[in-house]
This record gives sequence, C-alpha cells and structure tokens, in this order.
Amino acid sequence: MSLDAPTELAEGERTLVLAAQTDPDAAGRLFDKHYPEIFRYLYHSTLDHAAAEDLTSNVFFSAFRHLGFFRWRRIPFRAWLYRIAANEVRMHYRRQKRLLAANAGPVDLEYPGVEPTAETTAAAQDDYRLLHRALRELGQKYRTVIVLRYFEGRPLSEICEILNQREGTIKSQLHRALAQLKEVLVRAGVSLA
Amino acid sequence: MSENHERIEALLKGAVPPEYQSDEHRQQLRHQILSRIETGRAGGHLRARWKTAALLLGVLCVAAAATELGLQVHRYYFEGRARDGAYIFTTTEPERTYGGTNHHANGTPLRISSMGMTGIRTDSGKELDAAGIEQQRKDLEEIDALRQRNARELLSVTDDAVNGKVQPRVYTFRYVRADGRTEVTCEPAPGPLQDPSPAQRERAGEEIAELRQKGQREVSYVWATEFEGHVVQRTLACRYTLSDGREETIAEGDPELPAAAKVLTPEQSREVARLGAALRQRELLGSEQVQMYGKTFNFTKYSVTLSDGTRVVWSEGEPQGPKTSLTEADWKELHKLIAGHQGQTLSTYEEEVLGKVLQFTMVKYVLSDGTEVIRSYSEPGSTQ
Repeated sequence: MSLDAPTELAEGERTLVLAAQTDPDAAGRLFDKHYPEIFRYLYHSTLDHAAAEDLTSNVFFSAFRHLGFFRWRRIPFRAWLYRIAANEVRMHYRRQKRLLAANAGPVDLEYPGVEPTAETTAAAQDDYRLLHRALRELGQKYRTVIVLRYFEGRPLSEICEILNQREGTIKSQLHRALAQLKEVLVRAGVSLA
Repeated sequence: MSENHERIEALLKGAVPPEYQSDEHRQQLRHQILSRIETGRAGGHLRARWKTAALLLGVLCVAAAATELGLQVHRYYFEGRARDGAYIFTTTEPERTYGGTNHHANGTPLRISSMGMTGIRTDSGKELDAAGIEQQRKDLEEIDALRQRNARELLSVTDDAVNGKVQPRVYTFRYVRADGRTEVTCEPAPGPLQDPSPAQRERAGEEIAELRQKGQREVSYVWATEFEGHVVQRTLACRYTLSDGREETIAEGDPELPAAAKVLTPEQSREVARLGAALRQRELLGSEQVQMYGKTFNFTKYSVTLSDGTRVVWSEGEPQGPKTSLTEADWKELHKLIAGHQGQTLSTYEEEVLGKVLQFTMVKYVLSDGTEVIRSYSEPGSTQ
C-alpha cells in the first residue's frame, strides 16, 4: 500500500459523499458501506431490535438530509455517522428515562431475549448481558466510550473523532468508565479477583 | 491500566455481543433514502392524502402505518394502469412524521412509521398516451400545491354510515389550475395521526398504542400473501376509536402469523401489493372462509404473477356479517339511488365545518342486498 493510500481513501470517500447528494447509485454505495456498522453499534448500545432499527433510520435520514454540510466537519464520514448515532443513543435513553419516570409502579428493566447462535455461546452472551446491564448504570459518555472501544473495536483515534475529544480526554474517560464499571460489577456480586 | 482494569478489559473483550441483522429494515431504509435523493428533495415535511391502495403499497413493505402530514409539494409518479382502465399515480415520500415502537397485545413489537404517501386513481374515461400521462402527473402536482395553499373551494361535505358504521368524512373541493382548467376532487378528512401539530400526533399515537396493547381494536379487513402454499405475509386493517370519538385505521402486520420458512423479498412484496391491490392485475381463484380474531372472514383469492415469474396467491378478506364498508359495486348502486332520489329523508341539522356553519340533510338509502346507508350531505351553498 502506498503512503498516499489514506489520503486517497479520504478523497475517494469525499467524492462518494459529494456524489451521493444527487446520485442514487453513489448514495446506495455509501449506505451499503456504512449501514452494517451503524446498525450494529446501535444494536449493541440498546440491545433492542426495534429501537436499533428506529435509531438507524434516524441516523441515515439525518445524515443524508445534511450530506451537503459534511465537508465542513473535517472528520471521516464514518466518524460523522457514529457521532450522529451516539447522539441518537443519548436521546433514546433520555426518552426512556422520561417514559420510566412517567410510569407509576415497578418497572421491568430486563432486556429482550436474544437467542444464542452457533457463533456465540450462551456463557459469552451471559457475560455480555451482565456487562450491558452494568453499563446501563454508567453515565452516557462513559457507556459510549466502552461500547465503541470494546464492542465495536474502534481505535482511540477514531473514538476521538467520533466524540470530538482529545486523546487524553478519551483515555481519561475510558479509565473512569472502567473504574465505574468495576464498582457496579462488584456491587452486583461479580468477582474480579 | 491497573490490574483490576485489565480484568474488566478482559471481561469486555471476552464478552460476545449478540448479533442481529434486519435485511428487511436495511432494504426498506435504503429504498426510502434513495427515493428521496431521486426526487431531488432533502428533507422537509410533506402533505398528502392517503388512499387505500397507497396505504397498502407502503405498508405491506414495511408493516407500518401510512399517513400523511406536513407541508411540501410532492412529486408524483405514474404507478401503472389498473385492469379497469384507471390510471394510478403515487408518491412514495420517505419523510417520517410520526414514528415509534408500539406493542401488540401479545407483546409482539410493532414499528409505526407515518409516512407521507399518496395514491391517486384517475379515471376520466379517456385513453392517455405518454404525453397525456405526463400532463396528468403534472396536474396532480399542481393541485397538491394549490391544496397546501388552501387555494380551493369547498363544494360539499359527506358523512356516510354503512349499517350504522360511520365512515370517514369526505370533502369535495374544486381547484382552478393556472391555465384555467378546473378539477374536482374527493378528499377524506385527516385522521388523528394527521393532526396538525406534532404534539397532537404524539398524543394520538400514544392513545392508539394503549388501545393496541389492550387489544381494543377492530380488524376490519385483511390482506394476505401466500407463497408456495404458506402464508408469508398478512396485514390487518385495524380500526381504533380514540377517546374523542375519532377513528384511525392502521394497516399492521399480523402479530399472530407464524414466521414463514420462505419469504418474499421486499421488492417482491411491494410488487405483490402493487399488482394485487393497486393495479388489480390478478386472476380470480375462488373464495374461502377463515376463522381469525374471533370472527369469520370471507376471503377472495387471486393469483398474481410477478415480473420475475414468481406466482403468489393474493387474498383479501372481510368479516362476515353486516357490511361496514361498501364495495365498488355498492358505490355504483348507491350513486344510482342518489341520482334517482330514491332515498328517505330522515332529518336536517347544522354543524360547523372548516369554520362555516353548514346545513346537513340526512337521507337513508337501502341497497339491493339490504345494506343500509345513511348519508348526511351538505353544500356550503346551503349555509344558513
């Protein structure tokens, strides 16, 4: 790969984004390229099929409506989409919070069931559920960095772009997020020894 | 990272997030976004009227509700020609104006998306060539723009009740085009999900969601698609009556339909609805009775052949018992009775409609099969 590859890649993406504003074929390619990862991120952030679909729709409607503004963001298109998606997740939980506050009586916070597949063992999924439940007790910004870093496997540099923060800030947030997660897990009786 | 953080990191890295993919959602969203780009519009709101065919076209693909709201001129497309000769035009605007996730009484989630969408059926009795179809399409767009400016004249208001079941109010308007030609249209009154403000729509949506969860709805019509001997898609027209007495009919995927082993692609589903319902390019196969939702439904079955050669069975069913809506043949008979003044005047009354006090005359008509239609009719000319 040549040293210019990332620049060429960015330029190619910029051209695609530009074309997608008016050309359905280009828009289709852009959509196909990014739909799976955005959907997966939103699903992992909510663990709710219907919510993930609704939020994914919101992300892409919003992104394609504002494609013309994208060139001013100066971040990769994917990071921009993740940024919109992270905001959708924040709004989703805010709406849920309001809904829960409005409902009297005990509220079941169980997550919808997810059938284990051939690729995922029940035990590993149990770990995930446990973590997901614990993450719900963290602040949104801590939850976001953990999902992006560990469930989505995004490098720190990209998380910085998505969240529009410096690397030091993200590292600090990750550190605090892990510390809080540890507290929640220990409180729930999980042994980390 | 501290030692404890390393352990948590190990836990995080070892956890396997569940995977979930929704090809149907991906296809649907892709289609909506590309449609928007094709229309050259980037957002904003829409205004439109919905009609049954358009409702089906939109809804069968997405198992959601189609309605219309907003304020922006549409672009119309020529969908095709119905077997009876009518020309069908639709808009397929993707803008979502009311959306959310509700649940059926059995807990099955239901995604509701209100979309701007209009289906127009025109039948002037004339054969249209390509230029004529294009002119018709442009005329529809011009009328749509006039509608949004309220540049129209109200000619009449009609309330029908079929065997006691009140139907949506219908307004008749006259539009005058830029070149002086006039057009008279019949337009249904907007439903609760088409209320002008988002807050009102939200409230109506919440009330409908509550009614749905309690099972307080009336299944008034059913559309089903069978493929290779299995029902792969079933959509219910569900009528909800809100606390203020208004009704909303929403087409919803049947939550009790078991998952099918074979499915149609979204494109095939859309073509089935287009050919089966909108264009009626179908061959009659027969009829059958099916018990569902505590009622006996009379289904009429048709064979529909898709462009890729796939053959499916398209069926439409309505509950047995007194009619609560009229068929095309019934409408023709009713219009003959009205033209012949073969009705019994029951009463007259006044009601404020669109800021005007109108005088209505209530007349009872009885169709040949015994169906009783009570029509309340008013023309602004009869204003007191």
